[in-house]
Amino acid sequence: MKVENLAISYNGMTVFSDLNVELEKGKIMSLVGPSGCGKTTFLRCISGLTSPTSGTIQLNGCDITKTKPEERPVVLMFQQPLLFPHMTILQNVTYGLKYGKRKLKKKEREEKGLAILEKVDLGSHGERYPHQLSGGQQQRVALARALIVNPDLLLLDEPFSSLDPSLRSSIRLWVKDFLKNEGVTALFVTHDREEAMIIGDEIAVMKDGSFQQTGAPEEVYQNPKSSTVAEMFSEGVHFEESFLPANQLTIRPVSNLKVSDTETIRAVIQYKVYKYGHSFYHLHVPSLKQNVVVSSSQLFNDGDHVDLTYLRSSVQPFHNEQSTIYFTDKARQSR
Amino acid sequence: MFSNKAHKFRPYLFLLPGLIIVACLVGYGLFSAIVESLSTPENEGDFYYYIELWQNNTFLQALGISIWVAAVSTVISILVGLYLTRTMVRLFRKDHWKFLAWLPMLIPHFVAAYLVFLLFSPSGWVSSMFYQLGWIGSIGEFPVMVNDPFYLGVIFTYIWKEIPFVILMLLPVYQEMDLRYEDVSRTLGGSKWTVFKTVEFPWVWPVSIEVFLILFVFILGAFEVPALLGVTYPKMLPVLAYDWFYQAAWVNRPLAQAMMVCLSIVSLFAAILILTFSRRWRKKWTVRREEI
Repeated sequence: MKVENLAISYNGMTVFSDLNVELEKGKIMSLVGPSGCGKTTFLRCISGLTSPTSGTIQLNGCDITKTKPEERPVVLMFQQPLLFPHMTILQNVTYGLKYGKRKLKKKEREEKGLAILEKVDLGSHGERYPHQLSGGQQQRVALARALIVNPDLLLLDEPFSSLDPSLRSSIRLWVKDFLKNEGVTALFVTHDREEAMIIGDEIAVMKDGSFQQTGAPEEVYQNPKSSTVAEMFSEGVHFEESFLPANQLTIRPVSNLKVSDTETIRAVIQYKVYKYGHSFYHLHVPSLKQNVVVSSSQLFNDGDHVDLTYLRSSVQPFHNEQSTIYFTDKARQSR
Repeated sequence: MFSNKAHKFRPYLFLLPGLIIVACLVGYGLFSAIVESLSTPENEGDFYYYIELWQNNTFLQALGISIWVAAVSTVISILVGLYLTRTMVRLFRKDHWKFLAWLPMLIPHFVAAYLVFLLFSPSGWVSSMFYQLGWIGSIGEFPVMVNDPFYLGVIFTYIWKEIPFVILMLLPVYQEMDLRYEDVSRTLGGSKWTVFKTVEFPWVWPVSIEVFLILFVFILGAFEVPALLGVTYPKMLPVLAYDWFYQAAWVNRPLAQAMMVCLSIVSLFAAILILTFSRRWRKKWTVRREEI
């Protein structure tokens, strides 16, 4: 998939402009961004449900910018399962094979439907109705319904946001494995950083209608290229021109002692949580008006004033290059 | 103040005045119609007038034309109403558009029929306008659209009057419909027609059937429009009933009563059908929808 200079505006309001993305076949890209940044509109443009104001969308070398949504080899999966309530699960799953150019005979359709239901572990649920299934099962049916048509590109618009947290964490791993096994090229939209990292081979951070940074999850997490990305995707504190990862910070009781090569910032302990066998302190840094989470084995109390110390050398300057973004390995190497 | 049992009966209590009026006027009318229609001449069977009615050529012709008018008017009203509702559903969120669409409902049927007469009769405004514009050589060349044997004027009046009713009934369905299903259908390869068939139709058709039954039975039994815009032969059922009822010799009165009883049975049957249908629909759809 290759998107060039994509722009859309409604009634003179620009949702996004000049978006450029390239995604290799078989890769999954996670698109992270706050609500209202244009993620959903971007997906709708690629699926054809919304027409862009300008720019082009190419898939497998063909320009599909003006192609009707039903004729694109692209399927969009929504936040809610949106299964047709009056159809059985099997009828829902085989919907895309009943009409249009992917039309198959009833027998073939049902065979394929049952096979994909088996794959999503719902083989015995074909005759049931959507309301008889749980939220997670419904979302799996929606995934099967999207994949049965064998799309060249699958677009997922926060598909787990309507699920409860425990179900959410189990289903996202399952979906990741499923998509990888099937070799599906996918664009996955979320506002959850953890989810983006789990599912995506690539991360794209979007804000205010433009891509802020892209790259492998670890790369974006460790080396944010702007304060916006640092704030949205990384963990640490950021200054005007640089970023300091949270793992470089040490919590110490307040003291006026100066150690060479280190710097100190004052912080207040907000609260403590235990996770993965460690204690994590949620701190507020008044001078930067930022919050940060730092692990420490020392004991502090809520409300304590503390020093956060770090080596000067651990501060990473931002290399802001907010322009064309490519997702192919080749393009990344050339950068 | 009210016990639980009394609470249960409260709705019936509030409905009582209305029920009493219906029971007295309609009930008594229906009762006397049944009695009169069953009052057979000497040496004849119990259902003499009913058998006579169903063998009467005038009645059968009237039945035919009534079904024709009711069916055509209803089907066209529903189709046009459905088209207008689905294309203008967003516009109808604004009250002034809604008011404009529903305006014909405020006009009585008789007035609507009179308007159609003024507009489309051979000496009406439209034919005069066509003549003035030179499109027709004389007023006589204007096609007969009022008091014509196909009841076109009657059908036109009903269509004009009933479309707003169809919109009134379908608009809530469209406003409640989850339009995201349209996106689901299209992204899975469904054309606009597929969207209508699989997304809109399942929601719309139960209400459309209800509307069909209501309109069909109403048109079948309504008097004023065919009385003004119909022809002397064949008459529509209500006009024929009126004729038979008030004929000087009164000999056809029992026949008219038998006809009214038959029409009432059809109406009652339609009402039962509507209720059963909507109850089944609610059970099947709303529950499933709420749980998803």
